[in-house]
Amino acid sequence: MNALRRAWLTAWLLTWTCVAFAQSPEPPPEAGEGDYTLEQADSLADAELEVAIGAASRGGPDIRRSQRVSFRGGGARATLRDGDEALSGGRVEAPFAGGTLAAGRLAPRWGRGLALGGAGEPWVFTAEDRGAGARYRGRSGTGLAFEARGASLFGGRFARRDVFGTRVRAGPGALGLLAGGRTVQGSVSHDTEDRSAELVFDPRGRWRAEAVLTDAIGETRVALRVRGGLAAFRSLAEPARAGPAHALAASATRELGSTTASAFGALWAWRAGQSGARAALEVDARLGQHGSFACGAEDQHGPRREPSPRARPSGTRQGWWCEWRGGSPGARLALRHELWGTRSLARDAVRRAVVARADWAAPYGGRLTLTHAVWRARSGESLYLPEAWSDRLVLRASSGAGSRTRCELRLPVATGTVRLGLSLASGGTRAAGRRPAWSVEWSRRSRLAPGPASSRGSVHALRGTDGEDQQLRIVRHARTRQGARGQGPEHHPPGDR
Amino acid sequence: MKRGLWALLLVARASAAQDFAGASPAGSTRVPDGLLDRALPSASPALCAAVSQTRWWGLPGLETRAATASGSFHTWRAALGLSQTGEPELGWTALGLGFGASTARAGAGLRACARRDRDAPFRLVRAFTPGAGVEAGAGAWLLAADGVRVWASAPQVWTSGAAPPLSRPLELGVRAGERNAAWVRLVAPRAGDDGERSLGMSLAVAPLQVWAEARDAPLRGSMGLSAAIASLRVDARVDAHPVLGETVRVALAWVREPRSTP
Repeated sequence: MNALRRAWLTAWLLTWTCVAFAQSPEPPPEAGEGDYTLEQADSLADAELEVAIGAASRGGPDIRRSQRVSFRGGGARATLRDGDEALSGGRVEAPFAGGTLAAGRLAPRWGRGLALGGAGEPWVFTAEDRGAGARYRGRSGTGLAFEARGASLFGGRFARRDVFGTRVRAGPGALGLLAGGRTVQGSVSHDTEDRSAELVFDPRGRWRAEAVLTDAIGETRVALRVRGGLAAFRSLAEPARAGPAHALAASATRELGSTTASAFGALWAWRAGQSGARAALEVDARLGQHGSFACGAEDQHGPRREPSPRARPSGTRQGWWCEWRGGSPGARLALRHELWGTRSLARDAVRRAVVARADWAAPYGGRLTLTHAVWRARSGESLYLPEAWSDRLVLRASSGAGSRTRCELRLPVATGTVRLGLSLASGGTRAAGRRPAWSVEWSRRSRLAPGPASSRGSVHALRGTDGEDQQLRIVRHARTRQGARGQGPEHHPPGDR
Repeated sequence: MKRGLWALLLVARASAAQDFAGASPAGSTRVPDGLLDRALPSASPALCAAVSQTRWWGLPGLETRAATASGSFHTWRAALGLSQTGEPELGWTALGLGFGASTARAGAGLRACARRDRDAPFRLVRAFTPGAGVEAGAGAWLLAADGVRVWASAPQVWTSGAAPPLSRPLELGVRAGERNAAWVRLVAPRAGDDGERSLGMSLAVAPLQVWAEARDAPLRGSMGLSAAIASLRVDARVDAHPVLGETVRVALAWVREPRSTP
């Protein structure tokens, strides 16, 4: 009966509404407890160089200094970081032998990501931190990669094992082979603009397959994803991102004047008796030139992360949220409220969060931003509060009851930009009770050759590409799965070890 | 005994306001105590002096008396206030400072408050010595549309020393209209409760303005009456609580502001 109800709900949402469901960023399945940092994708224009130096304190007496250099030009691009607690290391790409040679952090994606570069969550169609053009720079492994027009090759350290892979493409089709840990996995994929499919398998007969179809029905954009296979299959390179063996997901979006309506639904099964479902509806309305109002409701059943075989069935979560943004470029205000409960209409609240963010134009082209978040989560529940920095998105793990305040002042200084940050936290977080955490960073972006300037990050953009639209979103995330290892307040992806 | 009084206030949690709260309804751009109490500066430049008295839950020994002064210079706003709560041997003295800036369409402010017990003679310097309870907060508002005001106030972003008698988390609000108005407020959850939501409206028949507000958790209400004659303004407010009784506030203010105030 429950399955029928879920199916009916999903069908109803798909029938009557429509997609580009605004997914909130979440820590990937391999993340442990604590904060998680996502690195923003490279935003440099051609022939640009950016240098940054900084220092930060996490509330203690220790001060951590960091440096960052990024450049792009002549077909080469690189980002190198040193001293950065969460994102140290780097990646270098350069033209080589008719292709591109990359070294350092790698986050490749093949086809649908079943063998390499998957999202892990059944409701995410494509991982935001894997593959070329991803919104965030992923860190699935460390090594060397070479990519030419019809072939790619890589080798490195992934998930604590040496993994090598090669892939050959011909038109929309591709064949790939992964080797590591004394076994191999094969991948057959087919990618076009609106259709994508992949089949992966190993010598022991374990397999998975997935297909995604995107299309338009009238003015409604729709997407459908189907996955099947054996639960025992695990990617050699990213076993934590295997996700459920069976999944069905769909999304739809439709523009209605200045309003966008989106709907999303997913059904999945980890193994017999451990299935889950999620459905959401979101409406986003533009209010004038700079304002917007968005609200949504969501229903969740079952485990979102892979549970242990003995885990008890997860309960129901229903939630709703609303978010308003307004003001002018000189003074902006954004408010958000999110509520989750175990009963219908979000009754019997288990998570509630209220966030306000205000930012003002400061003299000499500066900008002052103040974000204050207050939350309360029932015992056993947790949530992540996004905190957008200039080059990253930090997902702050929060539980219990508490508040977090972050103030950031950005000022043009010495032909560059200085960012001064101050964070206060109380209750319900690992940083609670500590002295204020602060950070200072000076960065400068220079052109290496005459040409048009980078178009990144207009300071007047209300919903720009610097993650501002994600800054208030509260990640709908239950506890991390059993067996996930905590890795301290700042999680380091496997490749960092 | 003092802990008992504090506990009573903590249990009450009925009002987001504290030492410098006047008797005005929420969200008005003309609230004289907005900067000191909620870090929300007034929209219009004004010179204001006000006194107020609050009797909490009908307890004669638990009264708050406050005197505040505020002024403006161009778009800048500043306020200073002093208040005393409770009997000399049990209560506390609070010194408040507020600073902000606002235009007709947006404003932002900072507030700070220091508290000392009244068991020793009050001196200004004692408010800033170790042992004092200090809190600081911020707030901002803007006009989302003509006549629609949205605000966010976090009066206790940072606290140090002795804990404040009331925990005051983030408050969000929307108000439509100025004198004839309706508003909605949302107070973020605190440890031990699930926040608060309120709905209010006011009607004006010059020179009077009457308003009422209903709040949940537990369900209760407030109502108030304001009268303005020339530069003088009198506000009265009653908050009713189903268990703790009634809180009565009375405020008298002298306000000098431009006639072009919206």
